[in-house]
Amino acid sequence: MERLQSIDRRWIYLLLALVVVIALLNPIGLPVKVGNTTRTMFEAVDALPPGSVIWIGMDFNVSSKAEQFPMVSVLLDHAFQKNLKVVGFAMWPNGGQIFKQLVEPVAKKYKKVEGTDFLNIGYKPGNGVALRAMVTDVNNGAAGVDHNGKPITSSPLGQQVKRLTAQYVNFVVDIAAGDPGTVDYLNFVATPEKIPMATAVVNVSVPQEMPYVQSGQYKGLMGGLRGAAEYEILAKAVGKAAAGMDSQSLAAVLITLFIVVGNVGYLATRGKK
Amino acid sequence: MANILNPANLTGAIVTLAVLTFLIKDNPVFDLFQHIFVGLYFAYSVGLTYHSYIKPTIADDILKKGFYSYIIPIILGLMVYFMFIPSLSWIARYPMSFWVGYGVGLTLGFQPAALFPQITSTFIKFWGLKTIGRDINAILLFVCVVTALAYFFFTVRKERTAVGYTAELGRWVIMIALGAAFGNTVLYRVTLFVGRMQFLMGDWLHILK
Amino acid sequence: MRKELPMIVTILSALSLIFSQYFFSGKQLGLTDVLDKWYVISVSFAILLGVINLTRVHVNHIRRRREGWWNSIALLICMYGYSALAIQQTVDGPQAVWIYNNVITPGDSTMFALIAFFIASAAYRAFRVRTKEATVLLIAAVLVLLGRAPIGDAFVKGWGSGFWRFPSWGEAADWVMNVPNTGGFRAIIIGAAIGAFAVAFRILLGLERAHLGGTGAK
Repeated sequence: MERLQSIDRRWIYLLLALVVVIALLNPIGLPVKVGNTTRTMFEAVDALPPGSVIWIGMDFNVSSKAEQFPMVSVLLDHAFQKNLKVVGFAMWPNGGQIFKQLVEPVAKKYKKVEGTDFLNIGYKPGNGVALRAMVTDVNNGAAGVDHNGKPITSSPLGQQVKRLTAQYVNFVVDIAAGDPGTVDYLNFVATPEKIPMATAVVNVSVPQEMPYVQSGQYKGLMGGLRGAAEYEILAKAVGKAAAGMDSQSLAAVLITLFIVVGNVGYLATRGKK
Repeated sequence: MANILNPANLTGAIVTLAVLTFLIKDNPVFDLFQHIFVGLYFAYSVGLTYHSYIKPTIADDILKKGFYSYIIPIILGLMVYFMFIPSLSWIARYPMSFWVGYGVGLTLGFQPAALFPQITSTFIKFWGLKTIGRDINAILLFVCVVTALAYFFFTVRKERTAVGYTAELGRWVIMIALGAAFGNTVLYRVTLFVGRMQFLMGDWLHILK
Repeated sequence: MRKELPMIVTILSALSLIFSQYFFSGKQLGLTDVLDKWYVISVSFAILLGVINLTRVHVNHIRRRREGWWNSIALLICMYGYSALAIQQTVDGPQAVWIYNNVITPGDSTMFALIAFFIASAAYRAFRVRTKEATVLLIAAVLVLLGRAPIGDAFVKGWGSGFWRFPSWGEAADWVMNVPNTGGFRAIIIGAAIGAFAVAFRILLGLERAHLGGTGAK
């Protein structure tokens, strides 16, 4: 038992890596049950009439790629299925770049055109203030240019979405991995401008965002890879999220076993002492 | 084979594997890559800010449109660099003061509105929410919030008082919440690793279906 | 005066924002729009602060030949080289975007993935049922961990319906997330907000002066 307690941590690392690799090579396809928060969000987006404008906050960076790239992809897929117009805006430096990278394949699939069907405002510095500037005047707040350096007013969608207010934007989804992020959207957009809002956050943030779902300040929430996989099922767009679920599950079982074995060892040696 | 040698994926794979070597032990390769990332990351923000704000403000707003008042915030922003000159570092206090004051204004001006629903939605009606389960949950939620808040009262004497016993219960609520947070954190971190393996085995080696 | 004037700047900028948020005439004045713009411009012109700081630290490393000083050279070359590239061709330029996609992206996401291993190791070595509180935390953690991954439902399926339903593992995890977790984090949110208001008022009243280079106390 004592030897079990002082095992080299690298064996633990190796076991975890092996479990993930094996699960990726032999997917079992565990069924994913769609949760309420994701369903609420899907239904809110689904209910928007064609031509509505959905504003996507890209507030994460590449470090959370595995969870949040699938979220953006499936949301865009759903939006374009429903013929919604999409505006992407980032308070995190990589956001504009990521939006560009992810919107291109989906736009191609649905034959959507940049400037008419979607607009990538890109990153603007200033965190929440940049967001507030969008509320006042999108063009001015963005210093007149989109992510590609083109004048915002040169595109039809850029001319249409003058302000981030309920008059011009019908729904907001903030895809966030921290700060700045959901709090800024709540404080500066969803609450004062009364635009319905949902959020898609990394798994770490789910617990602290749940109170806002209960209070109805969020019209749903897509939480982590699980949330993305659920949304993929609802939007009938199976993508990368579903593929990762088995590995995640088996790794969770393994870590639970670590906790159990570690505690059995602890209780046994404590009994001896 | 050709795909494995595709320079883009090969570079990505080398970078990924170099970082993963840290799991075996801390090593010079990992240190080198760590420094490279920090450098690239800062540079990325510089390039981005230059093209998305600095250049348009000077070239379009000031020179073309004649918004000369924007020179004031530019000077204000530049004043921060005086912090590197000890005898003149007090000049850097001005932009700092503006930013801090601005932050205070945002906190007091905007946060309350978004916070109130958090309070009001705790006091929802406890009865007639269609099912008994929902009624019970509404009451439980109320109890959880109030007891956990009591746990955060640091200014009240807690030994053998009503507040003390409430706070004791609140501590358990916080423990459950933190447990839930831990579970979610584990899942998140595992997902990130799964993502890297999907890249190595799928995009690079093509051994995933 | 070197402290009083900046203090006045702080108070004025805070008050003008509050005034224009809560008063109709303040909203009409459009003062916030001006201040917003000023804030963003001034912040973006301060972007080099981090670069200068890093340069100072690493030039120092190189000069003194500290351990691993060659890493500092790599950092400076990458920082200045990529800055120049990004300024010259924007971050979307062909080479800039290549480096972003194939070096920054995989590197950054792998760095964060490493933590999965540290958590696994910590779960084995440190996550112990030492006290009653720790036991509660551990049970909640395992419940949520397996419940939010689809595997939990495969272990415990749940049966019955309505009030007499015995929940599946996933439903139990959802309940933990929806009730005690929501309650606990709501208390944290409210507590943190009250703390933030207190600090904001202290700054507004001039009691907190850490940003002016003092200790905050008189």
